[in-house]
Amino acid sequence: MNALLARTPLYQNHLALKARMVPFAGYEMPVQYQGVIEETKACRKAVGLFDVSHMGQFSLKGKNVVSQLQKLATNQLSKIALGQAQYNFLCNERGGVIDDIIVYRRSEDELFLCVNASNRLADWDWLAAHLDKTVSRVDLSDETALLAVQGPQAESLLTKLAPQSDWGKMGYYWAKETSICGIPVFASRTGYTGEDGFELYLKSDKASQLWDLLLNEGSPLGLQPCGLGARDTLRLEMGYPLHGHELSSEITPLQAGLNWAVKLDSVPEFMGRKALIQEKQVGPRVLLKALTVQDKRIARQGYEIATPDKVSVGTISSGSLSPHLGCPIALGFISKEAAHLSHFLIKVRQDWVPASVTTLPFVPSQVKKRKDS
Amino acid sequence: MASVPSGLNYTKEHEWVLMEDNIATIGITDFAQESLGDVTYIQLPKEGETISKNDPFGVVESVKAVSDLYAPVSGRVIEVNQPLLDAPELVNQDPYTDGWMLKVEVKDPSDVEDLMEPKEYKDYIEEKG
Repeated sequence: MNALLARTPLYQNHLALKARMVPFAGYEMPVQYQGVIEETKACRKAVGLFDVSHMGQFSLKGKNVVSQLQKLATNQLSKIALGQAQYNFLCNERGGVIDDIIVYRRSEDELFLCVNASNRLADWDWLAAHLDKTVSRVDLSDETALLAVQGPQAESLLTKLAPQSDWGKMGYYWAKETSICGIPVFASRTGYTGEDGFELYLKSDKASQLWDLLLNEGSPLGLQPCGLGARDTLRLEMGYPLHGHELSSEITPLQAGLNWAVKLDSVPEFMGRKALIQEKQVGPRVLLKALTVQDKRIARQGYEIATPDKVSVGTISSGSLSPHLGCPIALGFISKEAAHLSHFLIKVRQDWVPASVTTLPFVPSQVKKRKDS
Repeated sequence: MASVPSGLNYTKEHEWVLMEDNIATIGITDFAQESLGDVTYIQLPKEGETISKNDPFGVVESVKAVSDLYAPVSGRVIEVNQPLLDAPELVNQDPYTDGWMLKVEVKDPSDVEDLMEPKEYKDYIEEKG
């Protein structure tokens, strides 16, 4: 195995569960345990347990921290209440996405950022280049583990383990410091699956212990450990973007249909705003569409999209099999001239397979139900 | 440890071959199906078509990967496992029995001579980790 790959604190736990390990963002990560399809189903039916400790975490502190980060962030940071989380983009001057991140307001003068593992270094350098000296920055990634507990049984599981924490009162996209069996965690009601659930930030040295507690207590509830394969299928069923596929430094949030997190009107100045306003005026040159595939073959990233007359109009950005729908699903960018069409062809090796446009999410979201705070 | 039944020959591309007179039954090994993960689609030649030793004759797709299938022998396809094509996950459950892929009338039975014996294949996959 590659000696240059990093490992999360759960590495031995994954081996003990006979996970298949693969390189991802410089880490050796579990792609699956029992199988992608079985794990995806278990998460939606009961609860899935995910090790996402490879992701990065930064702490930004200072009396001007909100206005300083706002220079770089597309959503309205002043709207984040104490204890709340918000989805944001860090864009470059062209409006392309350097990273999509979650910003937490941990105190009056502290913002806590969760960033993609693959962009951690680029994000760090970007912040270093643009935040002024009043903001102190700490990279907490190496000492922070992150476990996600996602599914209809997630709240029950955490209530079993930590009844005093009042999990039921936590609203969607809210976070708080709490503890589980004496282990301090920063718990967030967020996730990447479309199921109700939580993401638990904690010190690396307690991660293995918490993993085992969740595994043991969760098994009778139907809990299964879920790898990156299931994570990708789950997020795709929701239409959630993945940087490197639906987002990149050359793709804008408007092209990806994520205008809701880009507050062009309410935030007067942020990196990329001018370019995005211009793009909004003329209309993005490509638009992200959700497709169901009428074939057994999966449409994968890079596959060509064409009109029924076989005129090339776009490219697939992500694809997988949806266990929920029982057919392959995909996201793809289609040139604006063809973006109104409802049927396309996708080139899978030598054949053209038919696909239909649909609205997102492919699978009903369960998170809105919890929006009660 | 992936299972490697006796009585079969094996290829470097993780196919198995069962020779009975001049009829070869072909499939992919337990190691292969484990590596692929959940198989979602299999493409095989039709009955009557010929396959050529060492050339790709089909495709096996999983959620995460696409792999070519390579012919271990040359010959004419006399039977294809239709239930497998309808339910590709059979190859994950039973790569050596229900997951058989096709039967070929072999022109030259010496085609199998350069294939691996079970012990050789076991060592081969052990090396691969």
